[in-house]
Amino acid sequence: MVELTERPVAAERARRIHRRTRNEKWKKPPRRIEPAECIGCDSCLRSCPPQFAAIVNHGLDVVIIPELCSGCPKCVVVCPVDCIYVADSWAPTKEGLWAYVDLGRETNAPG
Amino acid sequence: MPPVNQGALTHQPQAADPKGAPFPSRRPSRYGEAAGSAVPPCSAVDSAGFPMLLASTLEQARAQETAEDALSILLTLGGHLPADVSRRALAPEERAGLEARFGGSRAGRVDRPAFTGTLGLTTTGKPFLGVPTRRHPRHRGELAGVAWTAPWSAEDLTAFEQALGDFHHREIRTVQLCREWLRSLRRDDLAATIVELRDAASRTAPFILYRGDTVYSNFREPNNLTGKTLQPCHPDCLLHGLETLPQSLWTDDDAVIVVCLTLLVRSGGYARIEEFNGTQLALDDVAEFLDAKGSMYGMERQVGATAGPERAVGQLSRLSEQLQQRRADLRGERMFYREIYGPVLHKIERFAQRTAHVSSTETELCQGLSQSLPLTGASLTDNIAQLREEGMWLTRPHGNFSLGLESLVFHVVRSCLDAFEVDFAMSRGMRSLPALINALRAEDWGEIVSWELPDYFCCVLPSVRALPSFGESWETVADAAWAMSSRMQYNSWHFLPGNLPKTPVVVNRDYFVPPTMPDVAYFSDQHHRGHVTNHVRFSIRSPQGIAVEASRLEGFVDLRLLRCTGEALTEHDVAIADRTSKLIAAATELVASVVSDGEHLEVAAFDHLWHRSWIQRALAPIGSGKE
Repeated sequence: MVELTERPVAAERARRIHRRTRNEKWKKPPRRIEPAECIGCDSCLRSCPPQFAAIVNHGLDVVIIPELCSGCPKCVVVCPVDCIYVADSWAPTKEGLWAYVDLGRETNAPG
Repeated sequence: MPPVNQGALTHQPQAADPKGAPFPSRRPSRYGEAAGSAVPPCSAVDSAGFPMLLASTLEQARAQETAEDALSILLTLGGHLPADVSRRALAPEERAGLEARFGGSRAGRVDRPAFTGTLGLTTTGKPFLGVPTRRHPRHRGELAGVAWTAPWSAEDLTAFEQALGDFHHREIRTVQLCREWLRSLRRDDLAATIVELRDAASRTAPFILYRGDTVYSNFREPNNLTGKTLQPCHPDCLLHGLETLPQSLWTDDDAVIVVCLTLLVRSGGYARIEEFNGTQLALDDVAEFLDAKGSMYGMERQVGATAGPERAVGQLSRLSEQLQQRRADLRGERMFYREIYGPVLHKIERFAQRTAHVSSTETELCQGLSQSLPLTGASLTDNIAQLREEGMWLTRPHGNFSLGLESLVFHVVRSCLDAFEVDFAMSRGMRSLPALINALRAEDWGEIVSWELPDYFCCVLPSVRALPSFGESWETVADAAWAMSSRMQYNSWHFLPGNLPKTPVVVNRDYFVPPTMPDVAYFSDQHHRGHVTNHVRFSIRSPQGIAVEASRLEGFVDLRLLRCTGEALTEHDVAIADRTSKLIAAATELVASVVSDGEHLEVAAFDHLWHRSWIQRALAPIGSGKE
């Protein structure tokens, strides 16, 4: 369980993760990465604003979590191969993938 | 020393227009279109690459006349892997079954089977042998398919029981030996060992290792080792918490894995673990591996050393350290390289055979260079010497390039296409040597780790031979070439920090240990989606380090060669590629030394527009696509 007592934007993101839901106020659809075209450079992951942090590595793939993606173009701008598309229709993220979200946070657990 | 004339790093991606104006796509086939605006493609057929290999292997095995022939197909993945690698992937019960049922000659058909076992493949490419004590994989989902059934005689069962007993005895002894050695370590030393192994998993290419039926991997499911997916603090990681857990709470697998990985790393660095990719991590196998390395390196057996499975881990640890030292000595004399078997990412270390004569490939390469560059040597070694004597042209405009170094990179890559008969050739490096030198002088490691992909370059040239693999479309070839260039820029981005002191700003950065050894890869068009899409089947990678100021930057430049079809590249090709990349490294070092003296020299060529333009001119008259 992610702590809900953090700064407002972080807390808002934590709520989205906890509820597995997208912010209803976001007008733009989320983005998705086409795996066959992606070169795995993680430029998108590094550029995703921290209040969203919607992009994760899953094995050899780089994946956008639609529930966390506001649809902003930051990742599109830096992608060298233009493999990021608008996802007008998207499926809820599978439960197994949520285990890989939010791993960049420091914990007190041993490494 | 004062900073060199740097200017701004001019290769950052353009900031998005705050009014929301479109940002141009960098994909060559989308020239003039906005990034992110294309119609999404239909999702790629996910059965390409490795799933297709598994299916075709099973089909081939099913077509065989006997169980023995079917097993041969499964063990080699239909000719894509040495059989010995797959044998070493088998769990202990399966190895016992292999010995008992398939070892030695058979008296004839089994008329009244005492047992029938299946032969199949798992989803990781490991053969599956059904044996009396384990008739199915632990999880049904692990089985990609069944190819054959093999009848066993009563004699086979007796032999199996004997072999299995031997394996169990050795496994019990292995666990004892491993736990004894771990208990002998000081707490701080054990903690440091765990931290090092975690670093190895994070900082090198992916692993896939077996203990019995269990897969340990940071490459695909089950994702139970730290890597790109699992951060080191993730509880799913096998190595999580081991330095704080009492050893009494370690599982047997924990103990054996830590010992085996430690022995491997001590014998040859982090990358040594990849020489066990796709196989079981067993102490016997590691001991046998270390002995084989000793023979390969020409070492005499240690006085007093015992052989066999009872050898103490301490003895093996000393052998590992001796191997590491001997290897370092040999690398000054011999060209080491690795073979990579793409389907299971298995690597095998080799020496190249020494040869004094200049081959026809190298002659053709040098002739190609002499037509465009002031390099008249009959061999690459001669050309390197000439460059060191007369290389100032590298710092001036040359041909169509604003910098001679760009011209050298281009013409070397271009000459490689025909000399090696490859579909693509490429070479990467860094654009702004002034920025690098300034940062090195200031020890500004934060600056270096902040650079992004556009601060690096990779010149990728396709041959007309590549067109058939890409539907005869020059635009599709250009997209593939630019994708490769971008990925190589990422590799440069990923390797450079591995050369820096391990300050917090560097440690917190994603990086890999830079490569120092060339390799030749077979059937790499299996797992990485980019490799599947762009038909990266047979390749050579030849990295080189350079000396800049007081620093040695390993893996700073390289040469890569790629065939999408046809025959694999060879050891002979690796040796010539190594000398070719040394030429590029020598040129880069010379330019760096001139920059150190105050000149402002940068590589401006080889961006996406350059690639589109060159490939269109070279291939459009031959292939199809928009002019």
